Amino acid sequence: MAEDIERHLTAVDDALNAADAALTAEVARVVDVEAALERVKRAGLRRVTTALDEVDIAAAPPIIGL
Amino acid sequence: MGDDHRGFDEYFRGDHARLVAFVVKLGHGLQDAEDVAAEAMTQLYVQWDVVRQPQAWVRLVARRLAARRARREVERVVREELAGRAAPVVDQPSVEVENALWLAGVLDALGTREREVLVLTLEGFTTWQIAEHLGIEPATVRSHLRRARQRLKGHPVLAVALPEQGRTDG
Repeated sequence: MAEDIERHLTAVDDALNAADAALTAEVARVVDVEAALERVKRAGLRRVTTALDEVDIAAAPPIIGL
Repeated sequence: MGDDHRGFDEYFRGDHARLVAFVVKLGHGLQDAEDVAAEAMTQLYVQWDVVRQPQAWVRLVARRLAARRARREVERVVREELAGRAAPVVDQPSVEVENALWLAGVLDALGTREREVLVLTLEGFTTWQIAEHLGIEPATVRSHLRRARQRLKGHPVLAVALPEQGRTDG
């Protein structure tokens, strides 16, 4: 009895894994990965640059006379 | 600057679709899932040189972002309903992916925690990692997972997908 239940649950896991793989394959088919990568890198670079600018400004010596 | 991100492109190409699918399985529409994945990957890009397990890291970030986004959406709907405005625009999957999204539909049968635990398990997280991330006991993770599997056992859509032969020798 317990073995039957376990067998059935294993089949559930197998079906879920197969469905998971199918979903991922379909997403990969419809999503433009190269365009997504370019957008992410552009946004990431912008954030890195902004963070570095803020560090530069914070580290800059005070301007005498202003 | 470029050297700090060595290997990122290759990682992104290999994991992006899986990450979007991960957010879909958590119960979000495809467009939302793409947006969340993009933000999580952007955060990963910024921290690329210090993150040791990018696949796990980016999923935990994506899960938090998706939850925050869902919360904001609920708040927006409530605000608009209170103001007597029109119903919200629901993120609909394209016809192309509708068939592949049946898994997300099946997972709708689960409670929030059961769903999170099952999806994180599908992603390869261990019981201990899930427990740590969700802030619950490992025994509770196992309990949610057991209940999720039991509940899905009788799901009519999943039953159709169950393999005919299964495992015949224990």
